Amino acid sequence: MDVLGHPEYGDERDDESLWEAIRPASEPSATRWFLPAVLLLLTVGTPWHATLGWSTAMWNGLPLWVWISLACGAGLSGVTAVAAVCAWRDPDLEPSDRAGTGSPTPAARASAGRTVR
Amino acid sequence: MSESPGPEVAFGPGALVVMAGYLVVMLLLGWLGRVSRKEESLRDFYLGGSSFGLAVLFLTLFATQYSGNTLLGFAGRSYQQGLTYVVAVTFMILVVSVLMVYAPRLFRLSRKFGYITPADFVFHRFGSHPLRALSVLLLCWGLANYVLEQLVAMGHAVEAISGGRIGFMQGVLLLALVMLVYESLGGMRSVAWTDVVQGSLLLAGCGAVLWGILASGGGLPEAAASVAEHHPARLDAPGARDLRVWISNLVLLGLGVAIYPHAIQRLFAARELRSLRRSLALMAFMPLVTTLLAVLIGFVGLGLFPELSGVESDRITVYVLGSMAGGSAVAYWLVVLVLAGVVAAIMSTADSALLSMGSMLTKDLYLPYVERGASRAKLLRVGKVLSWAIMALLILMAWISLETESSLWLLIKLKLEFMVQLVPVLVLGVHWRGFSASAALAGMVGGTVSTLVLWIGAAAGWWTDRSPAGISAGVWGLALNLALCVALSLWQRRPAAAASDSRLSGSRG
Repeated sequence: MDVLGHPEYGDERDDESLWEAIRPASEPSATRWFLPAVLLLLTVGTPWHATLGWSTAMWNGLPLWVWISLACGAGLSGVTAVAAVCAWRDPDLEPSDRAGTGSPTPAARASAGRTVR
Repeated sequence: MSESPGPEVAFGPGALVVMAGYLVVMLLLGWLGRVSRKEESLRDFYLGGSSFGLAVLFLTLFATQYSGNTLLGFAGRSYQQGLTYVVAVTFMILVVSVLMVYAPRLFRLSRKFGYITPADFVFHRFGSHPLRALSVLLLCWGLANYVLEQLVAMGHAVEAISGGRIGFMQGVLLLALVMLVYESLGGMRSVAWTDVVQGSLLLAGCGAVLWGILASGGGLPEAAASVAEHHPARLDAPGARDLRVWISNLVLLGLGVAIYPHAIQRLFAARELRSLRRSLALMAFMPLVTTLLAVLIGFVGLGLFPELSGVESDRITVYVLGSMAGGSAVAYWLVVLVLAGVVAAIMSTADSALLSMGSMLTKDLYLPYVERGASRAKLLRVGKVLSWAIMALLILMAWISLETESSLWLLIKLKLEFMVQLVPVLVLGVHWRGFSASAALAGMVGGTVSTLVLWIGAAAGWWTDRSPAGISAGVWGLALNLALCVALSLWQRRPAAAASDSRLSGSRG
């Protein structure tokens, strides 16, 4: 049912259409590197190693464990940014994601447009 | 005004003129948003017609994500907790990493099915009225706390800028009125355009303070020496319990902030995927500028003003800026710029959260449950009236908060402990088809109730700690929530699978 141009899914919601539409051509969580890299950086960036004593030395006004945590944070930023720009591909919504094609197809242009006002 | 424990900045009329000019620009942008509207529709009002390119999208995401709380509350927390609060930098980056897990699918669905609010997805995906209503209530609860927190920060900021000439409540009322006017005029389009100004101010302000902190005096080494003398424990790495608090913060804030409804609605408002991807890539680096700055302000402030109380430490940013402003005319105007950035950050977050609340109450509760046949014009009117009513209530609560000694941090906790209960529905919901509506509802109810019980029990004195073993109540609730979601979904699939097996064996026989 369509109320005022907005979908009210109610009893007529179509589960099949949702699951058919849900998956982009590629996404960060489907790559082999994104989630392991995030977990690795979070693990190394958590200062459990400071309890061993070697990372409590001061360097440039901050303890070494703080610098390690910040470096892992910077790494996490980098991994996330690469994932956003390189691992998220959706030619249906972004015609330039269709590798090797010049202009978008009419179907891609149509699906990239908004369906509901 | 009581005597300040730190140096307040003695701002002259020039600084107040700059602030007045800033507010006039905000109103002008609100009017521009109004005249630029394409149509009278919820999508145009609440998502700006999904027309934002890279610059507007990035700056509106940035200005919305980084609030007054980042520069005031986080700095205060860093002051109170010491360097272990550097975890804030990691959890703010993790927010964008978590978005990478579910945003690609949610954005795709929003384009195909025209979602306006996150609850549109919840109802489309699960088809459950109670689940949609509970989701909206939890999100609005969180957002109301969020706006309240911004109002309190607004009052403190205006009081500081005016050197006490404008009182806390006068400041709250003035900025809230300006915000409501430009938001009611142009909705998301006005809010996003004001975010462009506000985000630019915030970025410039952060850059100025970072430069000031690192370049002035002895920089970090001198601050560290002072902290080592007065509060050596705040240089220490986290011990066993603090490590659990660290991990709990990563989970609670990394997941909770990633599902802020006003941030999700900015995903829906992107003009095209390319702008969205690039905006999120830039957002991944912003904690290294803003959140790290807040942590450093708290650290430097601890060295400069080692004896502040809990509530006083919420103003540590103002005190550090005050100490910087004394140097020269350039430093003075840099501090004016920074405080304008703080006010901008507060307003940009509050207006976005308010708009998001108005959209959910109108689209997800009023339209389906109060007046199904309401016209577009009526819905827009209802949304605006609700925004004004909510703001009036929250201003009253901000006034009440003046009478209490609650620190800003407590408000954040209350907000995220409940909002994080929506993580399974949004993150697991886009990835696992077998995740059922009843399991999602049971999980959300179980997680919310267990969080409430832990809070109420601690408040009533039944137990001493609302964060057992250093893990926050919301994370315990989320663990129960997830367990219920997975266990019930798997259990519900068994009879269907068994029936299918028996049909198959029957047909073979």
